[in-house]
Amino acid sequence: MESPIFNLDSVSLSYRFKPVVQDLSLSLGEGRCLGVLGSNGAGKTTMVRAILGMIRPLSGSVTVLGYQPGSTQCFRELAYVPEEGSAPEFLSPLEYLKMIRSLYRLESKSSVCDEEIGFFELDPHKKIRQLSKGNRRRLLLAAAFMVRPRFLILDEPINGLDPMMVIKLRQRLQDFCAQGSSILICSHILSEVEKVCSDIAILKLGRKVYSGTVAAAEAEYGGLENAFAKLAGAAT
Amino acid sequence: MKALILFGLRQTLRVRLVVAVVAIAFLLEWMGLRLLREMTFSFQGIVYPIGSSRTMFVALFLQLFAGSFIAAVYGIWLVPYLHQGARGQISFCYPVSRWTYVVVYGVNVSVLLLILNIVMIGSFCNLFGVSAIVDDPLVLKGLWWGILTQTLGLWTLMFALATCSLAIGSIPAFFIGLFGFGFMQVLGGLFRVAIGGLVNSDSGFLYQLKQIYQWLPPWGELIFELKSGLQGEINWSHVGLWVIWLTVFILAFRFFIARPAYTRPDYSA
Repeated sequence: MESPIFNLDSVSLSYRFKPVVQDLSLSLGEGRCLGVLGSNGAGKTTMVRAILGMIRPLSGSVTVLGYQPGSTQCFRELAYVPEEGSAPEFLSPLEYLKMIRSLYRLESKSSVCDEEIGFFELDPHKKIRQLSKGNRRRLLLAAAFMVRPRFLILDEPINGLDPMMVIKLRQRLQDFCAQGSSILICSHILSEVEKVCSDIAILKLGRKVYSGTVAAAEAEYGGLENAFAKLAGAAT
Repeated sequence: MKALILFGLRQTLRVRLVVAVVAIAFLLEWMGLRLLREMTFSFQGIVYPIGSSRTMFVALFLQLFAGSFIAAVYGIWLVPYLHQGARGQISFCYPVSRWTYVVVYGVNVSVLLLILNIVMIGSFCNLFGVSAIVDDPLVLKGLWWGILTQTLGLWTLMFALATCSLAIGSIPAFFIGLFGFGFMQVLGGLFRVAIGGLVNSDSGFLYQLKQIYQWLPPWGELIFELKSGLQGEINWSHVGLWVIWLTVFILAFRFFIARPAYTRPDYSA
């Protein structure tokens, strides 16, 4: 049996001594796209931080791409786009992408920067501080795709993107999975998750209340929206 | 590593720190030494020019202030830039060993200090001639000793303030650094001068303070080190203490960049 891209085994996480995620078990196979859904404060971002090694679990274990989370080897095959944040503002998009290319030792692939700048329609020489929120987001996505990761983690990926770019990104994500890479998406936008993801996990108050394929959730609950409303929206 | 060094150099250029370094160094060193060249002192009615040893002490003394400013700005604002807030989460995922950052920041601050040294030596040679350094072995020895101790002291200051900035934020780090550095200078002066023999008694608060002070980073000793170096006296025990404290602050810094810092980034380049 092939090893999963990431595996959370009975993981409990806390943030400043407050339990946020409890007894969570979840994994992702190669070439799959997992959408993690949940209301605000359900523990989605905390779970992602545990996968990245930013926080250590109180109990349980986490493995990512067969490595301990947070290791340099792990980051060589992984890319992450957080919900907020920007690349260093004093650089230009081209300078930033060249820096990332060098950090991932991709200097031999000289055209990758131009390809991503073209795809995400960025001005290569304008300073990042002069870019709009949407263009800054495009740049982070461009950097993530440029390194051709085996595992891509996206937190609210379409925040600030215009509709045309959303369509292009959706296609790109589907192609990315078809090539064998895996994606984890945290999102509040159910329609996007439905279109892009093959699997979903629904979190509620730090606990997993559902995991399975999107098709199975739709068949069982008559649509993803119904599934989310029933599983994550019911009173505690 | 090359990419990060280049990034750091771009950062210092684009926030105009390099311009500030050159301007401050030039203003302090060239103007200060130019004034000194015009000055003389008289002893028993005979007027003497100020000797090259004293002039070099002034040059190193001025450089200490410029260097402290550079190390403080670099440590408090530029070093934490990549590691704080949402940007910290992005850079956390770069496939780079945390030790690489330690080396990169060390190299970058060294480049800034090198610029300072070049301006200082350039100004000195321009005003007093190369022979003022080369012909006097004490001045030459004092210069190298001054550069060595200052570099160790300023590296330590930079990593201490960077750690402080990552832990509690840049504004508190600035005030703590200012107070700490000033306090060490006062203590250094107090214990060296040993007013009224108070400090030399083997009891009392000042004595206990002196015992603690001897094990702290010898920032308060730097000025005296510069002076004694120009008199041919080299205190290697302080070099050992600098190395120990530099190691301590590097390890502390390495610890704080192991995870993204959630202190608020107060500076945006």
